[in-house]
Amino acid sequence: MSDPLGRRYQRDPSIVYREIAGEAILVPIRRRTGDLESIYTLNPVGARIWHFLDGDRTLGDIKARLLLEFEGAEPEQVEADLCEFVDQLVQVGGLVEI
Amino acid sequence: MDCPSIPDLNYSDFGKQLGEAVGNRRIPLSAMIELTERCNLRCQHCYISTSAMDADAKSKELSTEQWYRILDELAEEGTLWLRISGGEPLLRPDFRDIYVYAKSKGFLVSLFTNATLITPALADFLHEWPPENVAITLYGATAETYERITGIPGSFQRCRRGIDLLRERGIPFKLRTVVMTLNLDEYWSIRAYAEEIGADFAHDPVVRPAVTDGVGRNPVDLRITPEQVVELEKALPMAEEEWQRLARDYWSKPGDTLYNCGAGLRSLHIAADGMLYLCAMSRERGYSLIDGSLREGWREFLYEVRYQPFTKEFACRDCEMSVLCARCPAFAALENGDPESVVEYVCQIAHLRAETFLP
Repeated sequence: MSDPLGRRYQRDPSIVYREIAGEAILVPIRRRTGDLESIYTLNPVGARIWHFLDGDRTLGDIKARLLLEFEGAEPEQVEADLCEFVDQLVQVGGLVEI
Repeated sequence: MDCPSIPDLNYSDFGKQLGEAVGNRRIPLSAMIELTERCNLRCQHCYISTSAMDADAKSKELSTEQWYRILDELAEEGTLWLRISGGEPLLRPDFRDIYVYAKSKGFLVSLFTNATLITPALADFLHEWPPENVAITLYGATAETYERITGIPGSFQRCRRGIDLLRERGIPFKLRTVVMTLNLDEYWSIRAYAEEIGADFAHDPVVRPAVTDGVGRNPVDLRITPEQVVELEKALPMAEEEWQRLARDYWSKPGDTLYNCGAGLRSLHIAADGMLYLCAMSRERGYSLIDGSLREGWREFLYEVRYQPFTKEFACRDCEMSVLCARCPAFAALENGDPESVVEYVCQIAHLRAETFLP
């Protein structure tokens, strides 16, 4: 199995990111995405990660950015949270590995 | 660092969460856009109905690109719920382009339609790009009644076919009806049909005055009596509890401003010709989005309209029963030509509701 930190992902256009009144949300817009009767809310960390998932940065790059931005965070925990979050986004159709 | 997560919320739960996040800020979370005033039906009661062939109305409609620009601006201003209405919006040949553009901006799009123009191809398209909801008005339980209202032979079957096409594909929709003299007898049959197919259903007992020339008949002539409105409500499950709850929660005199609803605070309306209004009924003062920006129209023009003060004394200012009453300044302006006036018909309904449902 490849090192997860080397993976790169791009956002799928069938889920749209919106910020409304300070709330970060993902809106599924097309049939192939997850639960179309729902929208997904992102907490501030999730919203930061979403912005970093630009198809260029690897998960390793994103982990490094998060460690810079969130002082005192444990590297192992950041990596585990990041990977789990990305897996969730892939499952709902919001991300595609490239 | 908080653990990143993506809780999924249904639209209703998210609406509550967003309402709390918005607090006292003015954000047009909900926008209704009228793609056209024209309609393929000629409903006798309709408040906005111009013939499908009306060249003048068509010539005033915004272009596809103008709608794209307005949708961009709505997204910038924070709109989430976008209601596409008419007239009959499916008459626009560029309906799908505008709809997909709206979806791609991340709006939660709902569609207000009479369903008669829904084809298998359009239903497949809506299945691929699901709306939050499709609101369909069903005027009768039989072709005879439905078409007496719509004026178009064959429209009942086409409407029922449209509903079936959505059902077969699991596209969310709800049924609505306007109760009037022409269909009062079929109210319970319409409701039974909605229940039979598992559709959410609601009725509006109050026919509004027209905002366009309509079909030549004054819609208000089709109103059922205030007694009939309340008789109907009495027969509905939970009506008494619901009116009592509303009265308990919202019994109060209006504030110092003419408008006291969410229009201009959380919502706005854009007509087919690009005029920005507080709501579909409020057409006295509008702002042209062809000449100006949505940002300015919302932040400056509608702010001023929304917060205009009362200018005179009249009975509704001292009335605490507004929660039972369908009156609003826009309704009064259409009914009497004066936004600061009593609408006698709905005032009678409110008093009857109080006598009937409140302890």
